[in-house]
Amino acid sequence: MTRSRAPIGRWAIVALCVAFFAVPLVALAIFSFTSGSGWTTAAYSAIFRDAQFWKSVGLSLLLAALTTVLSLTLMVPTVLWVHLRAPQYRSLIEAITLLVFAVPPITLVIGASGLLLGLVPKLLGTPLILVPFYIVLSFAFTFRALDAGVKSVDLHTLVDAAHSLGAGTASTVMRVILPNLRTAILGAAFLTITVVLGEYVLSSLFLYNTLPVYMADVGTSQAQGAAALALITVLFTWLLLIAVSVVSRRLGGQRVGTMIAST
Amino acid sequence: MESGDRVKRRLPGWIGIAPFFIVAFLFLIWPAYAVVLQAFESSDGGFTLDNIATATGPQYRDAFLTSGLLSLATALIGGVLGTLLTYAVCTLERPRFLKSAMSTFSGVASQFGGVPLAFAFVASLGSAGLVTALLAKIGINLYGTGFSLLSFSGLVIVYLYFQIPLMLIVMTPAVEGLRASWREAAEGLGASTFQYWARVGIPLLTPAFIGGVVLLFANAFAAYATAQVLTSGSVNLVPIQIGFFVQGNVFAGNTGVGYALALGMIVVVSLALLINILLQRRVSRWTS
Amino acid sequence: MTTVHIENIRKTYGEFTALEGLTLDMAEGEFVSFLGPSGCGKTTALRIVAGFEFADSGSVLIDGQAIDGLAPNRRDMGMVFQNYSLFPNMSAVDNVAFGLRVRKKSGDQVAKRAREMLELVGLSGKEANYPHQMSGGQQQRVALARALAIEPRVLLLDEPLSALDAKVRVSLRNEIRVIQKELGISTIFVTHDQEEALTISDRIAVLSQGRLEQFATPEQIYRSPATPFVAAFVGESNRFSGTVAAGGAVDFAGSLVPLAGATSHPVGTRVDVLVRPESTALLDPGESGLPATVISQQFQGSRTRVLAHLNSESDPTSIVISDVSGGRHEHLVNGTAVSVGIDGRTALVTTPLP
Repeated sequence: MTRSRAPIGRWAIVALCVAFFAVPLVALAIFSFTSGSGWTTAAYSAIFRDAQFWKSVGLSLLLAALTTVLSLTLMVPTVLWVHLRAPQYRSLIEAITLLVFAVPPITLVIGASGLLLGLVPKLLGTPLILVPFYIVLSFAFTFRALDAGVKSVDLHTLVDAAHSLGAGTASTVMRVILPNLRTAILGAAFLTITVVLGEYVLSSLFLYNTLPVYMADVGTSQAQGAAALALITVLFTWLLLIAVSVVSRRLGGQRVGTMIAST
Repeated sequence: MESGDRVKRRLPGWIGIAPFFIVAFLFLIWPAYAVVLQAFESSDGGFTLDNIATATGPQYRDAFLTSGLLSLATALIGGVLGTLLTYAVCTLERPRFLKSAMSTFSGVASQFGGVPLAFAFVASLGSAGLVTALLAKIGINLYGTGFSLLSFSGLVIVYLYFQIPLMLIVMTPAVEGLRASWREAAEGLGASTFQYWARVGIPLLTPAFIGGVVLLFANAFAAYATAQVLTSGSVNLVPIQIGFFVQGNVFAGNTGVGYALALGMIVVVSLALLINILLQRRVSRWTS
Repeated sequence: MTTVHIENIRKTYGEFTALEGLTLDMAEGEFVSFLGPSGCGKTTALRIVAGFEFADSGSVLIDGQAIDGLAPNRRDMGMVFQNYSLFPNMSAVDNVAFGLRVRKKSGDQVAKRAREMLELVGLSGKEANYPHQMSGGQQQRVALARALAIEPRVLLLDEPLSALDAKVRVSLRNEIRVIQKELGISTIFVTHDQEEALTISDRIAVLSQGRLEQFATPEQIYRSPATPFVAAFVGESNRFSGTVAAGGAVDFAGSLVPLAGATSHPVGTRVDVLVRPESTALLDPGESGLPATVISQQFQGSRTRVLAHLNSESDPTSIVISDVSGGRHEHLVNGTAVSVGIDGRTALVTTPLP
């Protein structure tokens, strides 16, 4: 179908939205680089000199790493098991992962505080208490990424082929299944890291000084520093998510968007 | 021959998913259940509806109203703008990278929130922000008109930053599902552009649109971080109110009410998600 | 009753020429098929007539009037697409009524006509069904009813049967033809299936790589193919290489066979000869024809297809296909020596094909 008129209306909308999305980021960048006398990286150096910054970054990265590793250790076997041995549980598991969205983090905090206060006072003292909650928070993303990966590879046939050639369980998993799930696992990992690095609700209410909490603190005293931090975080997170997008595109069409869409 | 190892065949199906269930139970289901339970619990341990009464009473009515209004506003505005953007992005042929760039960006931007988002808008629309300054240069005193970023209207604008991309993600499959052959069939039968949209296009997009708006509503309703960081609790929202009840590990005030509020929130969000799922199923039936 | 005249249509997409110099004339109420392989330009031609594409040059005239400037929704043509063209949010009867409603016809009239059309295509009782509740064949019938409901001047069908099961395809194409004859609507039917085109068309336009190869009745297309492409594309053909000899014959590695078509080529030139299986005969070794050896038989019900290998060719692909009807194949067992006789009148003699 050919249309002779230029699609001005549609271009206008796109231009408007692009402007809306770009302005805050540009403002952030400019703000972080300027001071009264012109361009400077003073805000950035101030942040990098702050010991607490490094502590917070360290904490967030530690939590991210722990969460990712533990989450994958939990979810990969689960997804494989469900797909190969117990497909009847799949919808139940999917429903539970969706439950994560129905119980907003803020309500999770209030429910968890009561429970954990009673049960595990010791663990409550360390930031590690956040990890299991972060694992739960990333359930939906991890499950969908792995599920999509498993679906795009005909797992049953691969496993049957491996077995018929004499491979035992361990070899089949290590040599056949995991390599084929590499992109899905990477995607799940990136998404988990993104969630943890940006998670504010749980960490602030449990009073742990993760990166987002640190940023909020800094915001009250050094506006520029906060802007600088925000820009760094944004760029880094976006790079991660773009990596997810690229990786997920190799999953044969399964888009990141549909994974994230049920936020 | 089953695709399970001989050993595994002797193990029942549920064993493999037990670890998942244990984690989910301890850190998701039980806390959620605790919320429900304790919403009905009085300070001495007995069953009471007082908490619910207080939570839905005059003291918190304002919070629910504001939350509801904020969510509705961002859902509708974000819904319409997002749909228009989706249509534009999916049908424009040039530039050729537009569609994939916008999809990727939306995947990223829909997750944007909390601290960085708040700062980004403070840097642009705050009292010392870039846009504010630019507007002042051309003679418009933004804050003089009573506008403040740290207010309801400010939050609406900020929320749109992730609501619009989320709508794009939801609507893309629906818009792409509008087959060219329907448009051509309609034109061949004599329909004008308006008639096509009125009778075919919009009816087909409506379920996805409603599902999307509902999802956006739930998303806004549940959001805590952005509002907290931006307004430090000065705008009266349900999540903020719940936050007041949890300060570290110490509970302040009548915790039962906090639980009741949380329960209210869970109910609202769950309902919205359910509606969205049902509508999405309808969409896929038509577009398959 | 409408006449359609296509005058010298040319359409290019960048470097690619989709159509070149397409000219043809359709009589009132005629059923014309556009036949050809994928990419030959048949769908492009149809879409230009419908108004969904614009030709670079040339013109389409309906009843003598050029319609090139008209938008598709003004051309008064009914179009049936290959699949998925029914509006999924409407029931069958609402789909059929769409064109009428869009023309602001009155409610009662519309409902009545829609039901009539559904009855015409054999779907009365299915008015309230939605597209996803119907089979592919039923959907296409609704699509046909919908196109006909507006009483179009021309009916355009873009491979409407290609997505359907074989049996449904056969029965539906007959029904389409019956309805078309009854209503007398000028019709253009695009297809890549030559059997389909041969069965139901008044005339067939064979296209290849954007050019019109031949525009004639099915019989003429089959028996007197105008170009080698048509001969090869429509029906099946054996292909032999030989040299033109004097006196209207072709020399095939020593065997002289008289062929009427040989006279239009200079003596001594290499030629390819295309012969349909039914125009060959497997004769006894002494008789006039090409020496060959039987290698297999395929029983096909009313006839048996016998394959023989030409003695003169070492290339294993030089197989001759001959159709033998009735029980006369029994003696043609593997290894039998035969002489392949060729019907001199129907063989096509042409310059060597690629």
